Amino acid sequence: MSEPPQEQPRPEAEIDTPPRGLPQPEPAAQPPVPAADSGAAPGPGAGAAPVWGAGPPAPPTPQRRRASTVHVLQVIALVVGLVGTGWISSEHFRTVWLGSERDEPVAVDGAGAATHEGLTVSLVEATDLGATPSLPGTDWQPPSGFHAWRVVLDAESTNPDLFACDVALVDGGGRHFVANLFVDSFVDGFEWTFSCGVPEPDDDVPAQQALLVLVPADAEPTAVEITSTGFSSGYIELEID
Amino acid sequence: MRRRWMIVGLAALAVVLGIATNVADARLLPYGPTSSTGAIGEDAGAYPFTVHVSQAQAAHTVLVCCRFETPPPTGTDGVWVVVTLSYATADRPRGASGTGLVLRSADGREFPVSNRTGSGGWLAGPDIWVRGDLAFEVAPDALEGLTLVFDPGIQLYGPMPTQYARIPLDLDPGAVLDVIELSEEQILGAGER
Repeated sequence: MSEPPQEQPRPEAEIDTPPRGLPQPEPAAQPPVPAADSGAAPGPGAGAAPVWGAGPPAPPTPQRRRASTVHVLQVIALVVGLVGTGWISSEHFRTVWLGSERDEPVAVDGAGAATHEGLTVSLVEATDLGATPSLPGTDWQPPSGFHAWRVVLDAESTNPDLFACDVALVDGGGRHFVANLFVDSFVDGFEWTFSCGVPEPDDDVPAQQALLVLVPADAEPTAVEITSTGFSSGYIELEID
Repeated sequence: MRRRWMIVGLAALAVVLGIATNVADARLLPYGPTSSTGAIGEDAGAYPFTVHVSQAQAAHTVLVCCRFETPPPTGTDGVWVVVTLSYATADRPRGASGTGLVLRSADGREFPVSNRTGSGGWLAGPDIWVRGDLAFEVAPDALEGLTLVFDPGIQLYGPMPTQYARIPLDLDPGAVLDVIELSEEQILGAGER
C-alpha cells in the first residue's frame, strides 16, 4: 500500500471562506436579501460581497434554455399527435355519417295512408293465418314453429322510377320478416312481388295486393315497412292496429 | 429521477389503454367479442349471423344435386371438404357471401368455397334458419387442423370491427369418402339446426 501524500487539500479549501476574524452569519436566521436592496446600515465588513447568503439569480444557462425548448417541442408534438389521431379516427363520422340523411319513416295521414316520392300506400290487412294455413293452389306449409301472415296493401304510384318495393313485417325486437321470402312464390290470390310503379295499360296488378310472409310463431309484428332502392331516402311505415 | 417516473407513467398508461381496449372489444361492442370460437354441433356468433356446423366430411368426389338430371361426380386435384352448415340472422334477411367463408389450415392457408358446385352461401332470415352444404377444395396435406371461418364482412357500425366465427372441423385425414352428394338448401323448423 502506498502512503497518502502529506499535503492533502481540504474539501473546504475549494469554496470561498470568510476572512478570519469576522463573525460567521447564520443563514437560517436571516432572510436571503441581496445586499444592494437591504437598506440596512452597513455593518462590519460592509462593501464585501455576501459570502453565505443567496446571490442574485443566475442567468439561464445554455443547457437550461435547451431543456425548455425541448419541453415546448414535446407539448407541440403531443398536441399535433392527438389532433391527427382524432382527425383520422373520425373519418367515417365526417365523411359518411354527417353526409348521410337519417332514414326516417314518412308521416301517415289521418286515413292511414302514407305518401312518399309519388307512392301512396295504405294498409288494408295484416292477418296471422296460423301454423297450418289453407293456401289455394299449393301444398306449401310453414315449417314447424312458424306462421304464415297475409298482408294486403293498397298502392297508387306516379313515380316512374319505381317498379317493385320490398315489404316487411317488423316486430318489437326490430326483426324484419320480408314478404315473399322463404315461402312458395306461386300461391293463388297472392302476388309474388309488390308492384309499386306506375301501372302499364296491360298490367293485371290488382289495386289491393296480397303478400305472404313467413314469421316465427313467437313474433308479434307491430308495423309494415315498405322500402325501395328507388327511394332517395326514407321509407314508409304503417302501424298494425 | 423525474425522467424515470415519466417512463414508468407512460408504460402504465400503455397497459391501461390495452386493458381498456380489450374490455371495449369484449364488452362494449353490440355483438360481443370480435372473434368467437365454436365447435361442431354448437351455435357460434358472427353477428348478425348465428352459425351452426352439424357435420364436416372429406371425399374424393362430390355429386351436385339438381332438379332435373344428375351430373357425373365432380373430382378434384386435392380433396373435397363438405361442410353441412346452417345459419340465421338477428335482424333482417341476409346472405353469407362466399368471400367470407373459407377453410383455414393449421399453417394459415385459406381455401374458399369452390365455385364448381353452385352454392357459395344462401339467404337466411331473422331466426329463420336455413341449412345447406358448402364444398371446398383443399390441399390433401391440409385436412388435419382445418377451421371454418365465417366472416360476414358487414360494416354495421361504421369502421368498427365485425364479429366472425371460427369453428374447428376435426377432420380425420384417414377417413376420406369416395363421393358425397350435396344437399339443397332447406328452411328449418324452429329449434332445428
